[in-house]
Amino acid sequence: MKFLRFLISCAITCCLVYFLNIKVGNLPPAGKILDPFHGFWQNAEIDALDINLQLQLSELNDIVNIQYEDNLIPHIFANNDHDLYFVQGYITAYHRLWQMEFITKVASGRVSEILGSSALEFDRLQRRKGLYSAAENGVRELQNHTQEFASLKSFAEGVNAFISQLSYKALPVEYKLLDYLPEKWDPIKTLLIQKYMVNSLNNDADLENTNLVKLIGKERFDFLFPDLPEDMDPIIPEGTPWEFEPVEIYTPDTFEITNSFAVNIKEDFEEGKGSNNWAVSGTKTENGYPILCNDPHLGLNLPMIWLALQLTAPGINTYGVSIPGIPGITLGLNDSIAWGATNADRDLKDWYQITFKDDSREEYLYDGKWLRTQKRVETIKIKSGKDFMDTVLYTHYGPVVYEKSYLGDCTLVNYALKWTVHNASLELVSSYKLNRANNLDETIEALKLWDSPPQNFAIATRAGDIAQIVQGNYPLKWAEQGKFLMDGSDPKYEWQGFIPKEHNARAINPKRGFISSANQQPFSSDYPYYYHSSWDEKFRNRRINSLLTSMTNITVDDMKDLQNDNYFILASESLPVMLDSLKNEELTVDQLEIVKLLQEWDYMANAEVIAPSYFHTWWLKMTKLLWDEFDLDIPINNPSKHMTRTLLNQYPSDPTYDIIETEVAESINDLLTISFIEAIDSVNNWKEANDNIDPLWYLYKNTSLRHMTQIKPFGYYQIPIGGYSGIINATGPNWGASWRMVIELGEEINGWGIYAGGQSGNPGSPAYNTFVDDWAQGKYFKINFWDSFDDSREGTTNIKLTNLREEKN
Amino acid sequence: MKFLFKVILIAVLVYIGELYLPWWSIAIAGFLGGMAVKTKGVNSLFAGVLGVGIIWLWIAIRIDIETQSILTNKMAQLVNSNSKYVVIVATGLLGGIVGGLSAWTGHNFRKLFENRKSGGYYR
Repeated sequence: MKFLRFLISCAITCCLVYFLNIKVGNLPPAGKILDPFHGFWQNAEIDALDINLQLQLSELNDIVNIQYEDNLIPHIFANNDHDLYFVQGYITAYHRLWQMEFITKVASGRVSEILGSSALEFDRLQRRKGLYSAAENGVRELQNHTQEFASLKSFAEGVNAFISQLSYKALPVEYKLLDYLPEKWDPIKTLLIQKYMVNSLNNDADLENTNLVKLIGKERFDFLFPDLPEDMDPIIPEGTPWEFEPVEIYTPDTFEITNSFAVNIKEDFEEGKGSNNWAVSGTKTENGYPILCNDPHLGLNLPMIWLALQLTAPGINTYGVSIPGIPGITLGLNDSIAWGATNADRDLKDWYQITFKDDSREEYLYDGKWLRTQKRVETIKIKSGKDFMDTVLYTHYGPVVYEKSYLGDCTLVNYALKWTVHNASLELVSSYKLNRANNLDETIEALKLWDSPPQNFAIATRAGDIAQIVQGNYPLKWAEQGKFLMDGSDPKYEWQGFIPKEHNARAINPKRGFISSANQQPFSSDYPYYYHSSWDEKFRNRRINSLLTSMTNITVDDMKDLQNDNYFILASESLPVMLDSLKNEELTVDQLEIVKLLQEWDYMANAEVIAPSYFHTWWLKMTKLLWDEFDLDIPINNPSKHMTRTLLNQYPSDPTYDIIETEVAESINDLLTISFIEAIDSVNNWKEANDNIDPLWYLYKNTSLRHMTQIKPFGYYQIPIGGYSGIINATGPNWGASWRMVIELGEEINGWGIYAGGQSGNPGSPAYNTFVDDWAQGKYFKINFWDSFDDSREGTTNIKLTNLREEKN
Repeated sequence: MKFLFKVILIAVLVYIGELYLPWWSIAIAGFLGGMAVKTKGVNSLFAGVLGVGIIWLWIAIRIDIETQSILTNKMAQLVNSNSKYVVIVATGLLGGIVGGLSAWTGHNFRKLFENRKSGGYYR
């Protein structure tokens, strides 16, 4: 009896302990995580500056000093390259280990390992795009560049030194919640993060275009989707001469657009992401020094993709933001130059229809011959589930992403992807050199190695130069090549190499006294190579350039104001005609009040006004009815907002105003009136659902900083900030001006920066959201660019890392 | 008195155990404490509940106050609660349950030998 009692009590206790130690369903291991000595409690921080760095590291060659500012921005002072990148890796892991490791899982299609089978489809697509083999190619190529590759290795050593010291207690809270452990770092993971950035910045609409041509015909397609709309203000000022002899390119007499509906395939396409950069020369500024500005608009997530820091060692002194996991500074300044970048996307992904010989799919047709496919078996591990095996076929173009086993709905859908991301490239060598560039020539030389993702690099130097370099590896194409799905069996559709780097567009010290880019088309139709982008921006560029043209005696504060400009260009160009087209006699008194509100609106999309909420909703309702002919179950993109605006203003009797569902033929007036009433209803519904508060723009658009895993309490919502896509302050619901910087390059650097987040990636740290409020209000922190370590500097926390061996001697 | 001594003993063992071992060391602490001091079974159970529960609750409350609930509030929202006390109480309760059961097990283990002693087998 006693023995039985012991057995029973012992069994209950053991079972309980066992189940509290493992994940049950979606619940984290309750015992492990609630333990106040080791669990989540230990991730709660009192003071972010109470930094617990291991002070002796046997891997260091020399002493390294780190000086932290109160906002947790570290300044690293090392005596050699190895120590510099080692400590960057160590510190980055200290603040952002979970984030950087998670991104590598996203890039390589390994999210199912952490989140379970819900991520399987996502993982399959990531692997089918071939990002991992792209990273492998990258590492292979980089190994030939000993000095620069060493920086990747030192960085990895630093990350691993941190990981090896980690106990469960110190593990970032996300690991505890999702119950897994970090892996060792490796240079390939750095490359994976680089490829992740490429993946998120390269856009594509070839398959959608193919569907559209089949649906509406080529002529109408060309009208609605022009490659180079007329009223743009290109990046390179018009009239800049092209001082080169263009490469000859073979152009076929005719080409066919493959007749195929790709039914289930929807490529990533988001209007809204983008960036601004500009630099004004000393002739236009009050102090006579050039000022450089940059604000990349990326996905707004926490932890934010940026980590600010200064890196100093012999031969290098640079400050700016880094991407956690990548050594060096990505955007910022050094003691001679400042640089900023915007996405310079073009059609870099092309799709080829593959004809297989038979069901075995071991051979495919090319130029009348049968070529062999290669198979790569992808094993996707799934948390609490069986491994999933996916066979990906590779052709000489690239992976066959879509075929019968993945979203291809019939045997005809076999689409191979040719994409510049797969090419071995040397961006990390480029940024290593860029961080050390002493003048404009060295900067341009360093950037020549930058292939992908193509960027418009704005540069200003302390010597007084300003320049804009459109930099990337762009395929050489004949007109409209790759804009649509192509026949993979016909060699005439092959790319014919790349545009020589020296032929890339650039503007150096232009007469107008400034350079700028906002993701718009880089040039007009006089550029000697074919240009096509499904994504280029059509509003911000005109506003930025017209304001910069009119400005003189520019100060740093003027530039801050410009970055935070909330003028809604789309509204200013569309709302007058939209309001004029309204049939006021059909509107109620309440609705007419909104008409009046919109008439009186100054087009400023500030956080605390309501007019943009009405305009935005009206625009959405209107475009839904306007482009109802494209509201089909196949992947299609609507014409751009810019085209819609043009149509409203210049083509008031286009047949597209008809609403297909109804029997009558609607006019532009009918369409706008119906959509206006719908919009007001929609806003009223929002009000009802929100305790009848005013639909203030920031509440309504709901700019959020979501945690990367969507864990809700780790995010911030309805952040009081204005702006939107197409506005200089391009801050939408989940993308926006992630990092803003303004740098005046005088005798002293007068620099300012801010990003939407905080230096710590730990949701339990006071530094998790340090900058968010200031960012929303358009405020900045001072960029403290220091020459050398000085332990008497006030308001800093100093940490000295020493070599273990040396200490013993 | 014995009961109080038992509670304190378990609490001390928990504190020491957690320095070197993962969270499940509280079960060992409860077991050892439950075994070491002779009390009634039900008292053992409560001593375990209190010995572990109070330590866990105390540390949790201390961290919560020191960090101004920075993470406690977020964890509470994660389990769809608006109150951080849910997380604090859950922590104390969970420690208490494991502590109570393990102390009771320790008590039962002791009993195995006590019986034999009273039966005179080993006298």
